[in-house]
Amino acid sequence: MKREKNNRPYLTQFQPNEYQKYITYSLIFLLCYGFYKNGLLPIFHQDANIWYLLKLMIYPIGGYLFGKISEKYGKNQNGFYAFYGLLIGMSMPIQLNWLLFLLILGILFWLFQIFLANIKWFSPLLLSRGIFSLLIVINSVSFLNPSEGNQEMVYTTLDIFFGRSIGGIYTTSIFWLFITFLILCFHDLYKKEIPVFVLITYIMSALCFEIFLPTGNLLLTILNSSTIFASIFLASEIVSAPYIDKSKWTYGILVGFFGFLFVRFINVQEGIYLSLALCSFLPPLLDKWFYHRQKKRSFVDSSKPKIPFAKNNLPKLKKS
Amino acid sequence: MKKITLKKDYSIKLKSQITKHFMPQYVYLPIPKEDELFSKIQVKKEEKISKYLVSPVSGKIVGIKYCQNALGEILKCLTILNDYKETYIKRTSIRKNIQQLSLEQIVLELKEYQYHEIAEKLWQQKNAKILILNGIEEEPYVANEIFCNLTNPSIMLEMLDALKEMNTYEEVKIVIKNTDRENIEAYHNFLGTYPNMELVLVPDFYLVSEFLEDYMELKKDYLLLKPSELKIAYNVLKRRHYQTEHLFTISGDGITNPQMIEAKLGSSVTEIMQTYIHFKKEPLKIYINGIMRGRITSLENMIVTPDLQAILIMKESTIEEKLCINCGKCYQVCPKGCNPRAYLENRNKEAIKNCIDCGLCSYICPSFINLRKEMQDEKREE
Repeated sequence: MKREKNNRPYLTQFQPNEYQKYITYSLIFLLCYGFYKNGLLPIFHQDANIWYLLKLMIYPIGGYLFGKISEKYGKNQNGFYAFYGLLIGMSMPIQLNWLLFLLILGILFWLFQIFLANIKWFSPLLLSRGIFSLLIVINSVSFLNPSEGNQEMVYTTLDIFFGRSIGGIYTTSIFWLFITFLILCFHDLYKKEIPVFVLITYIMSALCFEIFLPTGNLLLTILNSSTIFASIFLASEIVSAPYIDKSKWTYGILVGFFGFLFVRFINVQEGIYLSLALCSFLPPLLDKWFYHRQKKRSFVDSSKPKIPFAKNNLPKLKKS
Repeated sequence: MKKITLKKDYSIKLKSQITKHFMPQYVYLPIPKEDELFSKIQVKKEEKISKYLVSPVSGKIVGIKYCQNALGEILKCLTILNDYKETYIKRTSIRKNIQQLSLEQIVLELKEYQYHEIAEKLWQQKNAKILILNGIEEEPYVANEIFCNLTNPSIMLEMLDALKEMNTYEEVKIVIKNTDRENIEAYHNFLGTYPNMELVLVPDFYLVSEFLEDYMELKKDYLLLKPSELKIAYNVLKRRHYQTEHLFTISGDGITNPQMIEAKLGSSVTEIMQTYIHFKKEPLKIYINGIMRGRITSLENMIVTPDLQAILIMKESTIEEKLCINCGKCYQVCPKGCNPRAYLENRNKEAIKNCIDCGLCSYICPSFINLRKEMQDEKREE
């Protein structure tokens, strides 16, 4: 895609880089509380490593840096999307050597973008998501290992670098998560329908399953801060989420449903990330499907028969 | 479709009075290709020089020159040197009662005076039940229809009343934006004498005239007329005059005195700018016919034609385009359901088939991508 200096008219609707800053500012309450509860307190009690505090800044700083690099050297998508994919992978229990994992991913993306990008039906975004989901699925097969499903023993890639902590930073408080969500809802670019549908579907699925397969800890399943965090920040990530309204709803329902299944039957903390990874190839397909359906409807509604102007119908000019 | 109110700079205010430029030194009349020139040298005002050409001034034909119109087309033009006497070929009396005419007679007379578009509009919608005067100006900083309405409310109402009498219109409505305070006051003063007419206020959304059916809940067929069209029809039917002057806007933040100009058709735009407009000493860009739907151009050899709606002189502002972030705003705001996002990704021409070049996608894009230019380039290639 060409990038050129563009003489825009005086009218401007949005300011550049506003949305990324807005996300960062909206996290302030959550960060302050998380810092205190799961950062400073454990450090004072010598239960956690000070490097753990850097973990919370990965999402905004890493995303910003990736965004800047991709703008300068990248080809078609905002680098924040690539970072989002990386964050999902790093939040999952480590099975493969993650460096090898990233290397394979990078080479495959590069190969397919060069050789298949010219074919009309091919979308690099679609294929990259497909490959990514496949690798995540392969990586997560070992969830079947009960030891690795044990929350006390499992380590994610982020934990390897920044240390294991007792609780999360972003996931410390459901109350502040909802306050952050409300702040984000005021921004025009935020895709607020997706977290709403994810959480509603998640809660409804939990209630239905509790009727038929009771576990006794329904509240624990529903008040899952990892799920809420992932649905508010990762599911609604602007580049990777769908942009047509009905496809947003469908995506939210599917992520919420699969998220519940994986949380319930595989892993409480990481289940939603697995669901996001699996459903990440859906947005472009859903957008295409719903756009074609809407296009047909708008043609039918807006077409009106036009009266043709026939010159023969006019009376002849009388000579004065 | 999401309805958008455009952000405007309210410091750009037009002068309340129209500046009249009725004494140009030269007038350039575009010669249609199929026209044969009449072998006259001295011409009078409103004299038919040939089958399609009518002189707006009295003077002498001195030669031929190539000039540019508002659409950027280079046209072969007949040059007339103005003698400033304004001698008419023949003074015609004013027709006292337009209501006596039938619709067919109106249409034929408009065609005789070469106003085919207005004639076709009236004839095509002859079975319409609702007559609407569309006093909405969509482009920001442009006020042609607003000023036409404001300076001639009695003419508008007289014409609407006449049309209602001669055809089977059940209702007559005058549509104005609710931010157009001057027109609202002007019409409130006159509407008392026309109890069968209704003033309708619509919100200040861009392209609100595309959705008038929704706002006004129109269930019957309607005829939509602009104030400028009604004024032309009035001049033809009442005064039996050709249109020799044209109203357009010169505005923008690159000049100190934005104003409305009424100039003779065929006048040089450069002459008008040099006489009436004070430019700021900054790099400027010139937009013809609006910011949203217009184009950037130079005013070299440009003449005043009926296509010219506005000249906007704006300070140069360059913003670097960023990558698409898949927000979908361009799809949400499109009034015709086009998908510029799909076009950007796959160059899918079907996605932008119904594009009406409104400019909303470029306006709304947070990455400042000039989507309108991409789609215009695509159409040019076709």
